[in-house]
Amino acid sequence: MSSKSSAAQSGQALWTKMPKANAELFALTYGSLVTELVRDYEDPIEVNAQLDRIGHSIGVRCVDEFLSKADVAGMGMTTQCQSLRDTAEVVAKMGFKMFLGVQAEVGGFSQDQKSFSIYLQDNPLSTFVELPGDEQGGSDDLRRLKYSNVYCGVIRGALEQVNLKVECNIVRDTLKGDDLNEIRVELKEVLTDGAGDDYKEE
Amino acid sequence: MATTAPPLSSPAGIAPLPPNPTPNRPSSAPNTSSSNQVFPAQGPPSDHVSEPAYEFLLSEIIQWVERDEKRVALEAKRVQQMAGDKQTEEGSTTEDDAAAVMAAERSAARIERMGYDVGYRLCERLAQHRPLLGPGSPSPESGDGFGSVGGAAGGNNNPLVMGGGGHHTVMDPKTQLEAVKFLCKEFWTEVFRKQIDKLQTNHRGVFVLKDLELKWLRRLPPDEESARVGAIRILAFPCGLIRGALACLGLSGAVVSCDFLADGKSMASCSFNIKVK
Repeated sequence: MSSKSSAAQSGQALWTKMPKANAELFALTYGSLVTELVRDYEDPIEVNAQLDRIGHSIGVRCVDEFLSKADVAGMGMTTQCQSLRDTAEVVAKMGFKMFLGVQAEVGGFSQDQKSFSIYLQDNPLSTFVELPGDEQGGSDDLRRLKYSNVYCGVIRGALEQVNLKVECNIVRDTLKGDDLNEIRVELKEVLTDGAGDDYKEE
Repeated sequence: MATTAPPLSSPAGIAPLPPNPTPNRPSSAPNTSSSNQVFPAQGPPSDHVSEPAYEFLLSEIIQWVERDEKRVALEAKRVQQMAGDKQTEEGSTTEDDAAAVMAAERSAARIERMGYDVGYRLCERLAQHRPLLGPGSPSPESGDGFGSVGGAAGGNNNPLVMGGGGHHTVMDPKTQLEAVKFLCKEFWTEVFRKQIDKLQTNHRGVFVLKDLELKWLRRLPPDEESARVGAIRILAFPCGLIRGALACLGLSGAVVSCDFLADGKSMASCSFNIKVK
Protein backbone atom coordinates (compact mmCIF):
# COMPACT_ATOMS: atom_id res chain seq x y z
CA MET A 1 0.00 0.00 0.00
CA SER A 2 1.77 3.07 -1.12
CA SER A 3 -0.52 5.90 -0.23
CA LYS A 4 -3.35 6.28 2.19
CA SER A 5 -5.91 7.11 -0.41
CA SER A 6 -5.23 4.02 -2.46
CA ALA A 7 -6.50 1.76 0.29
CA ALA A 8 -9.67 3.78 0.47
CA GLN A 9 -10.07 3.66 -3.29
CA SER A 10 -9.53 -0.07 -3.39
CA GLY A 11 -12.00 -0.42 -0.58
CA GLN A 12 -14.57 1.51 -2.53
CA ALA A 13 -13.88 -0.57 -5.63
CA LEU A 14 -14.32 -3.75 -3.63
CA TRP A 15 -17.51 -2.52 -2.04
CA THR A 16 -19.15 -1.75 -5.35
CA LYS A 17 -18.42 -5.29 -6.49
CA MET A 18 -19.84 -6.99 -3.46
CA PRO A 19 -23.32 -8.44 -3.59
CA LYS A 20 -25.39 -6.65 -1.00
CA ALA A 21 -27.67 -7.58 1.83
CA ASN A 22 -30.11 -5.44 3.74
CA ALA A 23 -28.41 -3.56 6.55
CA GLU A 24 -31.49 -3.54 8.75
CA LEU A 25 -31.78 -7.28 8.45
CA PHE A 26 -28.12 -7.49 9.40
CA ALA A 27 -28.52 -5.26 12.43
CA LEU A 28 -31.65 -7.07 13.58
CA THR A 29 -30.12 -10.48 13.16
CA TYR A 30 -27.07 -9.51 15.15
CA GLY A 31 -29.39 -8.03 17.72
CA SER A 32 -31.25 -11.28 18.09
CA LEU A 33 -27.94 -13.03 18.66
CA VAL A 34 -26.92 -10.63 21.41
CA THR A 35 -30.37 -10.95 22.95
CA GLU A 36 -30.02 -14.72 23.04
CA LEU A 37 -26.58 -14.43 24.58
CA VAL A 38 -27.71 -12.03 27.24
CA ARG A 39 -30.62 -14.29 28.04
CA ASP A 40 -28.32 -17.26 28.19
CA TYR A 41 -25.39 -16.03 30.18
CA GLU A 42 -26.03 -13.84 33.11
CA ASP A 43 -22.54 -12.48 33.10
CA PRO A 44 -21.96 -9.82 30.43
CA ILE A 45 -18.27 -10.63 30.47
CA GLU A 46 -19.13 -14.10 29.26
CA VAL A 47 -21.38 -12.61 26.59
CA ASN A 48 -18.46 -10.51 25.40
CA ALA A 49 -16.27 -13.59 25.28
CA GLN A 50 -18.83 -15.52 23.25
CA LEU A 51 -19.21 -12.63 20.81
CA ASP A 52 -15.47 -12.51 20.43
CA ARG A 53 -15.39 -16.23 19.74
CA ILE A 54 -18.14 -16.00 17.15
CA GLY A 55 -16.33 -13.07 15.59
CA HIS A 56 -13.16 -15.08 15.37
CA SER A 57 -14.80 -17.71 13.21
CA ILE A 58 -16.27 -15.00 11.02
CA GLY A 59 -12.91 -13.28 10.70
CA VAL A 60 -11.24 -16.44 9.54
CA ARG A 61 -13.74 -16.68 6.70
CA CYS A 62 -13.57 -12.99 5.93
CA VAL A 63 -9.90 -13.27 5.04
CA ASP A 64 -10.60 -15.87 2.40
CA GLU A 65 -13.32 -13.74 0.96
CA PHE A 66 -11.09 -10.70 1.06
CA LEU A 67 -8.14 -12.36 -0.61
CA SER A 68 -10.20 -13.84 -3.38
CA LYS A 69 -12.19 -10.69 -4.06
CA ALA A 70 -9.27 -8.29 -3.71
CA ASP A 71 -7.53 -10.27 -6.39
CA VAL A 72 -10.55 -10.10 -8.63
CA ALA A 73 -10.72 -6.37 -8.16
CA GLY A 74 -7.38 -6.15 -9.94
CA MET A 75 -5.27 -5.21 -6.99
CA GLY A 76 -3.26 -8.35 -7.02
CA MET A 77 -1.23 -9.53 -4.12
CA THR A 78 1.83 -7.61 -5.15
CA THR A 79 0.94 -4.84 -2.79
CA GLN A 80 1.94 -6.54 0.39
CA CYS A 81 1.72 -4.85 3.68
CA GLN A 82 5.16 -3.71 4.75
CA SER A 83 4.32 -2.61 8.23
CA LEU A 84 1.55 -2.69 10.76
CA ARG A 85 0.60 0.73 9.49
CA ASP A 86 -0.21 -0.77 6.11
CA THR A 87 -2.11 -3.58 7.75
CA ALA A 88 -4.16 -1.15 9.73
CA GLU A 89 -5.02 0.78 6.60
CA VAL A 90 -6.13 -2.34 4.82
CA VAL A 91 -8.25 -3.55 7.71
CA ALA A 92 -9.95 -0.24 8.21
CA LYS A 93 -10.34 1.05 4.70
CA MET A 94 -10.67 -2.12 2.73
CA GLY A 95 -11.92 -4.70 5.22
CA PHE A 96 -14.59 -2.64 6.89
CA LYS A 97 -15.59 -1.02 3.64
CA MET A 98 -15.81 -4.26 1.71
CA PHE A 99 -17.90 -6.13 4.25
CA LEU A 100 -19.95 -3.45 5.91
CA GLY A 101 -19.91 -0.56 3.49
CA VAL A 102 -18.61 1.80 6.11
CA GLN A 103 -15.20 3.31 6.17
CA ALA A 104 -13.13 3.23 9.28
CA GLU A 105 -10.23 5.48 10.10
CA VAL A 106 -6.89 4.56 11.57
CA GLY A 107 -4.90 6.44 14.14
CA GLY A 108 -3.42 6.49 17.58
CA PHE A 109 -0.28 4.53 16.81
CA SER A 110 1.76 3.80 19.84
CA GLN A 111 5.44 4.72 20.10
CA ASP A 112 6.63 1.24 19.25
CA GLN A 113 4.20 1.04 16.33
CA LYS A 114 2.69 -2.07 17.78
CA SER A 115 -0.77 -0.89 18.53
CA PHE A 116 -3.26 1.34 16.84
CA SER A 117 -6.88 2.31 16.90
CA ILE A 118 -9.64 1.85 14.40
CA TYR A 119 -12.22 4.58 14.55
CA LEU A 120 -15.68 3.82 13.36
CA GLN A 121 -18.12 6.65 12.95
CA ASP A 122 -21.09 4.56 11.91
CA ASN A 123 -21.63 1.18 13.38
CA PRO A 124 -24.00 -0.94 11.27
CA LEU A 125 -24.44 -3.39 14.11
CA SER A 126 -25.97 -0.93 16.51
CA THR A 127 -28.54 0.73 14.26
CA PHE A 128 -31.51 0.00 16.45
CA VAL A 129 -29.77 -0.45 19.72
CA GLU A 130 -30.08 1.38 22.97
CA LEU A 131 -28.41 0.05 26.04
CA PRO A 132 -29.92 0.74 29.41
CA GLY A 133 -28.20 3.77 30.84
CA ASP A 134 -27.19 4.65 34.36
CA GLU A 135 -30.43 6.34 35.24
CA GLN A 136 -32.52 3.26 34.48
CA GLY A 137 -30.67 1.28 37.08
CA GLY A 138 -31.56 -2.32 37.72
CA SER A 139 -29.65 -4.00 34.96
CA ASP A 140 -26.38 -2.29 35.78
CA ASP A 141 -24.61 -5.41 34.65
CA LEU A 142 -25.45 -4.66 31.07
CA ARG A 143 -23.14 -1.70 31.17
CA ARG A 144 -20.28 -4.11 31.03
CA LEU A 145 -21.68 -5.59 27.86
CA LYS A 146 -19.67 -4.75 24.78
CA TYR A 147 -22.42 -4.90 22.26
CA SER A 148 -20.22 -4.82 19.19
CA ASN A 149 -17.56 -7.08 20.57
CA VAL A 150 -17.90 -9.29 17.54
CA TYR A 151 -15.66 -6.82 15.72
CA CYS A 152 -12.80 -7.66 18.04
CA GLY A 153 -13.15 -11.31 17.23
CA VAL A 154 -13.39 -10.62 13.52
CA ILE A 155 -10.22 -8.55 13.46
CA ARG A 156 -8.42 -11.05 15.64
CA GLY A 157 -9.51 -13.98 13.51
CA ALA A 158 -8.74 -12.25 10.25
CA LEU A 159 -5.27 -11.08 11.24
CA GLU A 160 -4.46 -14.45 12.74
CA GLN A 161 -4.92 -15.93 9.30
CA VAL A 162 -2.20 -13.66 7.99
CA ASN A 163 0.11 -14.55 10.84
CA LEU A 164 -0.49 -11.59 13.05
CA LYS A 165 -1.55 -12.37 16.56
CA VAL A 166 -3.36 -9.39 17.92
CA GLU A 167 -5.52 -8.42 20.85
CA CYS A 168 -8.51 -6.20 20.31
CA ASN A 169 -10.60 -4.17 22.63
CA ILE A 170 -13.46 -1.80 22.24
CA VAL A 171 -12.41 1.27 24.16
CA ARG A 172 -15.03 3.74 23.03
CA ASP A 173 -18.58 2.96 22.10
CA THR A 174 -21.29 5.27 20.83
CA LEU A 175 -23.82 3.09 22.64
CA LYS A 176 -22.24 4.18 25.87
CA GLY A 177 -22.32 7.83 25.05
CA ASP A 178 -18.95 8.22 23.39
CA ASP A 179 -18.88 10.27 20.25
CA LEU A 180 -17.43 7.50 18.15
CA ASN A 181 -16.42 3.87 18.26
CA GLU A 182 -12.83 3.03 18.84
CA ILE A 183 -11.33 -0.41 18.61
CA ARG A 184 -7.85 -0.72 19.99
CA VAL A 185 -5.71 -3.30 18.24
CA GLU A 186 -2.46 -4.44 19.73
CA LEU A 187 0.05 -6.61 17.96
CA LYS A 188 1.29 -9.38 20.22
CA GLU A 189 3.32 -11.55 17.98
CA VAL A 190 4.12 -12.19 14.36
CA LEU A 191 3.57 -15.87 13.84
CA THR A 192 5.66 -17.97 11.56
CA ASP A 193 4.06 -20.26 9.07
CA GLY A 194 3.39 -23.33 11.12
CA ALA A 195 2.48 -25.73 8.40
CA GLY A 196 5.84 -25.39 6.65
CA ASP A 197 7.75 -27.84 8.79
CA ASP A 198 5.14 -30.55 8.65
CA TYR A 199 5.26 -30.82 4.93
CA LYS A 200 8.99 -30.46 4.43
CA GLU A 201 10.04 -34.05 4.73
CA GLU A 202 9.39 -35.07 1.19
CA MET B 1 -47.63 -29.65 5.54
CA ALA B 2 -48.79 -32.55 3.47
CA THR B 3 -51.93 -32.98 5.52
CA THR B 4 -53.53 -30.01 3.90
CA ALA B 5 -52.68 -31.30 0.48
CA PRO B 6 -56.12 -32.33 -0.85
CA PRO B 7 -57.61 -28.89 -1.35
CA LEU B 8 -54.29 -27.66 -2.61
CA SER B 9 -53.48 -30.29 -5.13
CA SER B 10 -56.86 -30.41 -6.73
CA PRO B 11 -56.46 -28.14 -9.69
CA ALA B 12 -59.89 -26.63 -9.24
CA GLY B 13 -59.11 -25.55 -5.73
CA ILE B 14 -56.05 -23.59 -6.64
CA ALA B 15 -56.36 -20.21 -8.07
CA PRO B 16 -52.84 -19.66 -9.21
CA LEU B 17 -52.07 -16.11 -8.39
CA PRO B 18 -50.78 -13.93 -11.08
CA PRO B 19 -47.21 -15.05 -10.84
CA ASN B 20 -45.49 -12.02 -9.55
CA PRO B 21 -41.85 -12.29 -10.50
CA THR B 22 -40.30 -10.04 -13.06
CA PRO B 23 -43.05 -7.77 -14.29
CA ASN B 24 -43.75 -6.35 -10.88
CA ARG B 25 -40.20 -5.95 -9.89
CA PRO B 26 -39.61 -2.49 -11.25
CA SER B 27 -42.66 -1.24 -9.48
CA SER B 28 -41.71 -2.58 -6.12
CA ALA B 29 -38.08 -1.59 -6.23
CA PRO B 30 -38.68 2.15 -6.36
CA ASN B 31 -41.12 1.76 -3.52
CA THR B 32 -38.58 0.33 -1.20
CA SER B 33 -35.98 2.92 -2.05
CA SER B 34 -38.38 5.75 -1.55
CA SER B 35 -39.40 4.43 1.83
CA ASN B 36 -35.77 4.43 2.82
CA GLN B 37 -35.44 8.01 1.85
CA VAL B 38 -38.22 9.03 4.14
CA PHE B 39 -36.21 8.38 7.23
CA PRO B 40 -32.60 8.77 6.32
CA ALA B 41 -31.67 9.83 9.81
CA GLN B 42 -32.69 6.55 11.41
CA GLY B 43 -31.16 4.23 8.95
CA PRO B 44 -27.47 3.57 8.67
CA PRO B 45 -25.60 5.74 6.21
CA SER B 46 -25.44 2.87 3.78
CA ASP B 47 -28.55 0.79 3.80
CA HIS B 48 -26.65 -2.27 2.79
CA VAL B 49 -23.89 -4.44 4.06
CA SER B 50 -22.16 -7.06 2.00
CA GLU B 51 -23.84 -10.36 1.48
CA PRO B 52 -20.92 -12.42 2.75
CA ALA B 53 -20.92 -10.41 5.96
CA TYR B 54 -24.53 -11.37 6.51
CA GLU B 55 -24.11 -14.97 5.50
CA PHE B 56 -21.08 -15.44 7.71
CA LEU B 57 -22.97 -13.97 10.61
CA LEU B 58 -25.99 -16.16 10.04
CA SER B 59 -24.04 -19.36 9.74
CA GLU B 60 -22.03 -18.56 12.85
CA ILE B 61 -25.24 -17.86 14.72
CA ILE B 62 -26.60 -21.24 13.72
CA GLN B 63 -23.36 -22.88 14.76
CA TRP B 64 -23.36 -21.09 18.05
CA VAL B 65 -26.91 -22.07 18.87
CA GLU B 66 -26.08 -25.70 18.27
CA ARG B 67 -22.93 -25.57 20.33
CA ASP B 68 -24.88 -23.92 23.06
CA GLU B 69 -27.66 -26.46 23.02
CA LYS B 70 -25.12 -29.25 23.21
CA ARG B 71 -23.57 -27.55 26.19
CA VAL B 72 -26.96 -27.27 27.86
CA ALA B 73 -27.74 -30.90 27.10
CA LEU B 74 -24.43 -32.05 28.53
CA GLU B 75 -24.95 -30.05 31.65
CA ALA B 76 -28.44 -31.43 32.08
CA LYS B 77 -27.10 -34.92 31.67
CA ARG B 78 -24.42 -34.37 34.25
CA VAL B 79 -26.93 -33.06 36.72
CA GLN B 80 -29.14 -36.03 36.03
CA GLN B 81 -26.30 -38.46 36.55
CA MET B 82 -25.35 -36.84 39.78
CA ALA B 83 -28.88 -36.98 41.01
CA GLY B 84 -29.80 -40.53 40.24
CA ASP B 85 -26.78 -42.33 38.82
CA LYS B 86 -26.38 -46.03 38.17
CA GLN B 87 -29.91 -46.95 37.25
CA THR B 88 -29.51 -45.55 33.75
CA GLU B 89 -26.37 -47.50 32.93
CA GLU B 90 -27.62 -49.91 30.28
CA GLY B 91 -29.98 -47.66 28.36
CA SER B 92 -27.42 -44.92 27.98
CA THR B 93 -26.79 -45.12 24.24
CA THR B 94 -30.42 -44.78 23.28
CA GLU B 95 -30.67 -42.03 25.83
CA ASP B 96 -27.75 -40.25 24.21
CA ASP B 97 -29.46 -40.48 20.86
CA ALA B 98 -32.64 -39.11 22.30
CA ALA B 99 -30.71 -36.31 23.91
CA ALA B 100 -29.01 -35.46 20.62
CA VAL B 101 -32.35 -35.34 18.85
CA MET B 102 -33.72 -33.18 21.61
CA ALA B 103 -30.78 -30.82 21.35
CA ALA B 104 -31.25 -30.56 17.59
CA GLU B 105 -34.93 -29.84 18.01
CA ARG B 106 -34.28 -27.27 20.63
CA SER B 107 -31.71 -25.46 18.56
CA ALA B 108 -34.04 -25.46 15.56
CA ALA B 109 -36.76 -23.97 17.73
CA ARG B 110 -34.37 -21.38 18.99
CA ILE B 111 -33.19 -20.37 15.54
CA GLU B 112 -36.78 -20.20 14.46
CA ARG B 113 -37.57 -17.94 17.37
CA MET B 114 -34.70 -15.66 16.49
CA GLY B 115 -35.99 -15.57 12.94
CA TYR B 116 -39.40 -14.65 14.28
CA ASP B 117 -37.99 -11.68 16.17
CA VAL B 118 -36.06 -10.47 13.17
CA GLY B 119 -38.95 -11.02 10.79
CA TYR B 120 -41.40 -9.21 13.00
CA ARG B 121 -39.20 -6.17 13.40
CA LEU B 122 -38.06 -5.98 9.85
CA CYS B 123 -41.61 -6.26 8.61
CA GLU B 124 -42.64 -3.51 10.97
CA ARG B 125 -39.97 -1.30 9.49
CA LEU B 126 -41.04 -2.10 5.96
CA ALA B 127 -44.73 -1.65 6.53
CA GLN B 128 -44.34 1.48 8.58
CA HIS B 129 -44.70 3.96 5.78
CA ARG B 130 -47.25 2.17 3.72
CA PRO B 131 -50.99 2.31 3.64
CA LEU B 132 -52.49 -0.49 5.64
CA LEU B 133 -53.53 -3.65 3.94
CA GLY B 134 -56.99 -4.32 2.75
CA PRO B 135 -59.44 -2.13 0.95
CA GLY B 136 -59.66 1.18 2.77
CA SER B 137 -58.64 -0.06 6.15
CA PRO B 138 -58.56 2.65 8.76
CA SER B 139 -55.03 3.74 9.33
CA PRO B 140 -54.40 5.50 12.60
CA GLU B 141 -50.74 5.86 11.82
CA SER B 142 -50.51 7.08 8.27
CA GLY B 143 -50.16 10.73 7.47
CA ASP B 144 -53.73 11.38 6.44
CA GLY B 145 -54.84 8.99 9.13
CA PHE B 146 -57.03 11.00 11.40
CA GLY B 147 -59.39 12.14 8.75
CA SER B 148 -59.86 8.72 7.31
CA VAL B 149 -60.33 7.08 10.67
CA GLY B 150 -63.30 9.25 11.32
CA GLY B 151 -64.71 8.51 7.94
CA ALA B 152 -63.96 4.85 8.19
CA ALA B 153 -65.79 4.34 11.44
CA GLY B 154 -69.12 4.69 9.75
CA GLY B 155 -68.01 3.00 6.58
CA ASN B 156 -67.90 -0.58 5.59
CA ASN B 157 -64.31 -1.20 6.60
CA ASN B 158 -64.85 -4.36 8.45
CA PRO B 159 -61.60 -6.16 7.73
CA LEU B 160 -59.70 -4.48 10.47
CA VAL B 161 -56.03 -5.05 10.07
CA MET B 162 -53.88 -3.78 12.82
CA GLY B 163 -50.19 -3.57 12.33
CA GLY B 164 -49.38 -4.72 15.81
CA GLY B 165 -50.39 -8.31 15.29
CA GLY B 166 -51.73 -10.54 17.98
CA HIS B 167 -55.16 -9.00 17.76
CA HIS B 168 -58.15 -11.21 17.61
CA THR B 169 -59.61 -9.56 14.62
CA VAL B 170 -60.63 -11.97 11.96
CA MET B 171 -59.02 -11.18 8.70
CA ASP B 172 -60.96 -11.83 5.57
CA PRO B 173 -59.28 -14.07 3.02
CA LYS B 174 -58.70 -11.24 0.62
CA THR B 175 -56.76 -9.23 3.12
CA GLN B 176 -54.90 -12.33 4.19
CA LEU B 177 -53.85 -12.76 0.64
CA GLU B 178 -52.72 -9.16 0.47
CA ALA B 179 -50.61 -9.73 3.55
CA VAL B 180 -49.01 -12.81 2.10
CA LYS B 181 -48.39 -11.01 -1.16
CA PHE B 182 -46.66 -8.25 0.72
CA LEU B 183 -44.52 -10.91 2.32
CA CYS B 184 -43.70 -12.51 -1.02
CA LYS B 185 -42.84 -9.28 -2.76
CA GLU B 186 -41.62 -6.51 -0.54
CA PHE B 187 -40.43 -8.48 2.43
CA TRP B 188 -38.75 -11.20 0.42
CA THR B 189 -37.08 -8.65 -1.80
CA GLU B 190 -35.60 -6.91 1.21
CA VAL B 191 -34.25 -10.14 2.59
CA PHE B 192 -33.24 -12.04 -0.52
CA ARG B 193 -33.20 -9.37 -3.23
CA LYS B 194 -35.70 -11.36 -5.20
CA GLN B 195 -39.35 -12.19 -4.92
CA ILE B 196 -40.86 -15.52 -4.10
CA ASP B 197 -41.07 -17.41 -7.36
CA LYS B 198 -44.47 -18.92 -6.91
CA LEU B 199 -47.37 -18.44 -4.58
CA GLN B 200 -50.32 -20.76 -4.35
CA THR B 201 -53.30 -20.65 -2.06
CA ASN B 202 -56.55 -22.46 -1.50
CA HIS B 203 -58.16 -19.22 -0.27
CA ARG B 204 -58.86 -20.90 3.02
CA GLY B 205 -55.78 -19.98 4.90
CA VAL B 206 -53.25 -22.27 3.26
CA PHE B 207 -50.45 -20.74 1.28
CA VAL B 208 -47.53 -22.37 -0.44
CA LEU B 209 -44.55 -20.19 -1.23
CA LYS B 210 -41.95 -21.56 -3.55
CA ASP B 211 -38.50 -20.15 -3.91
CA LEU B 212 -36.53 -21.88 -6.60
CA GLU B 213 -33.21 -20.52 -5.47
CA LEU B 214 -32.93 -19.57 -1.88
CA LYS B 215 -29.71 -17.65 -1.49
CA TRP B 216 -28.66 -19.13 1.79
CA LEU B 217 -28.85 -22.67 0.46
CA ARG B 218 -27.25 -22.31 -2.89
CA ARG B 219 -23.78 -23.36 -1.77
CA LEU B 220 -24.90 -26.72 -0.48
CA PRO B 221 -24.13 -29.69 -2.66
CA PRO B 222 -27.13 -31.59 -4.00
CA ASP B 223 -27.88 -35.19 -3.18
CA GLU B 224 -26.00 -35.38 0.03
CA GLU B 225 -27.50 -36.30 3.31
CA SER B 226 -25.28 -33.94 5.24
CA ALA B 227 -26.26 -31.06 3.00
CA ARG B 228 -29.87 -31.88 3.60
CA VAL B 229 -29.38 -31.79 7.32
CA GLY B 230 -27.53 -28.51 7.02
CA ALA B 231 -30.22 -27.03 4.85
CA ILE B 232 -32.92 -27.98 7.31
CA ARG B 233 -31.00 -26.22 10.03
CA ILE B 234 -30.68 -23.08 7.96
CA LEU B 235 -34.31 -23.15 6.89
CA ALA B 236 -35.51 -22.79 10.45
CA PHE B 237 -34.44 -19.19 10.22
CA PRO B 238 -36.48 -18.14 7.17
CA CYS B 239 -39.43 -20.09 8.58
CA GLY B 240 -39.18 -17.89 11.61
CA LEU B 241 -38.82 -14.82 9.44
CA ILE B 242 -42.05 -15.66 7.68
CA ARG B 243 -43.92 -16.35 10.86
CA GLY B 244 -42.67 -13.14 12.41
CA ALA B 245 -43.52 -11.06 9.38
CA LEU B 246 -47.02 -12.53 9.22
CA ALA B 247 -47.56 -11.92 12.90
CA CYS B 248 -46.58 -8.32 12.35
CA LEU B 249 -49.08 -8.06 9.52
CA GLY B 250 -51.84 -9.31 11.77
CA LEU B 251 -51.77 -12.98 10.86
CA SER B 252 -50.56 -14.28 14.14
CA GLY B 253 -50.61 -17.93 14.94
CA ALA B 254 -49.60 -19.02 11.50
CA VAL B 255 -47.88 -22.35 11.21
CA VAL B 256 -44.98 -22.40 8.83
CA SER B 257 -43.14 -25.45 7.64
CA CYS B 258 -40.76 -26.02 4.82
CA ASP B 259 -39.91 -28.65 2.26
CA PHE B 260 -37.38 -29.15 -0.43
CA LEU B 261 -38.42 -29.28 -4.00
CA ALA B 262 -36.35 -32.21 -5.02
CA ASP B 263 -35.01 -31.38 -8.42
CA GLY B 264 -31.76 -33.23 -7.90
CA LYS B 265 -29.72 -30.30 -9.11
CA SER B 266 -29.50 -28.13 -6.10
CA MET B 267 -30.64 -27.87 -2.53
CA ALA B 268 -31.63 -24.29 -3.00
CA SER B 269 -35.18 -24.70 -4.17
CA CYS B 270 -37.61 -25.06 -1.37
CA SER B 271 -41.14 -24.32 -0.42
CA PHE B 272 -42.68 -22.77 2.64
CA ASN B 273 -46.09 -23.90 3.65
CA ILE B 274 -48.16 -21.53 5.66
CA LYS B 275 -51.29 -22.49 7.48
CA VAL B 276 -53.18 -19.61 8.97
CA LYS B 277 -55.58 -20.32 11.76
